[in-house]
Amino acid sequence: MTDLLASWLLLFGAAFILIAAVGAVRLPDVLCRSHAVAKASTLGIFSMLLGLWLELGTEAVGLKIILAILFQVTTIPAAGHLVSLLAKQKDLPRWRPAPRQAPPPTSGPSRPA
Amino acid sequence: MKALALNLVLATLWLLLGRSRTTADFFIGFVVGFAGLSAFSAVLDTGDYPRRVWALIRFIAGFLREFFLANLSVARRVLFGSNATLQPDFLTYDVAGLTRGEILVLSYCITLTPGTTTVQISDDFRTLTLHALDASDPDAVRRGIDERLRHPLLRLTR
Repeated sequence: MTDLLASWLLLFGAAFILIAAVGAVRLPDVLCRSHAVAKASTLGIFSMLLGLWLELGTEAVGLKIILAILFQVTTIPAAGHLVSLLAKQKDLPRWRPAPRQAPPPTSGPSRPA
Repeated sequence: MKALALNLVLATLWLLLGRSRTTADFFIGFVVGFAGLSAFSAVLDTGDYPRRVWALIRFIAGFLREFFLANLSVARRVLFGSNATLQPDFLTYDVAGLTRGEILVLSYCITLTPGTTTVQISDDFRTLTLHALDASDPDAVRRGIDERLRHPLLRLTR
């Protein structure tokens, strides 16, 4: 039972890390990518470590893995925040939806923030 | 603060009186001690400690739910959505009345909940700049943050 739950958690976490990677490829600009990477990889690592904790049992590892989860979950969003802050300050090119609002259809850095 | 110390003392006593001493026993002792403290809160002068603990549990539960939903929506967006439906833009969120610790927790939670990430905290700690994947209705985004994160957080800290 515990094995099964642990395997599902590991699989689930791996799937979300894969989603983070796919998001980093598919989404159009730095700021949108930071959404996918910050959220999906946090949940991915969270559930993979939880699965590891279930698999090893509390006698072997105690609360160390819980501490590891806590550190991961607090640092990944901070890193995502720094990346997007830098993208804003450096004024990196932002992707704009093409129709409706912008009459000149330039695809590059259309509007400074 | 005094009530928290009392609760820790009760948990330690439980640990010393019990037969086994594991991490789980400590937490059982903590929960039993908390039940005792909230039952006798009038005589023990616990202040608003029981209320704050409940607010903390509610905040964490609500946050985990939002976090999970955020991931499902990101997964759907990444795997099935097309980029043409995105409307990414910056928006500002007013945090004028909050202390710095509250702003820290709030901005962290905003990053992990659906559709928004924190980009910048202004130097005077009065506004947050957010980036939303769907910024077609900024007021709805702000209302959502108010309801789901800000009010539970303020119930916890005030």
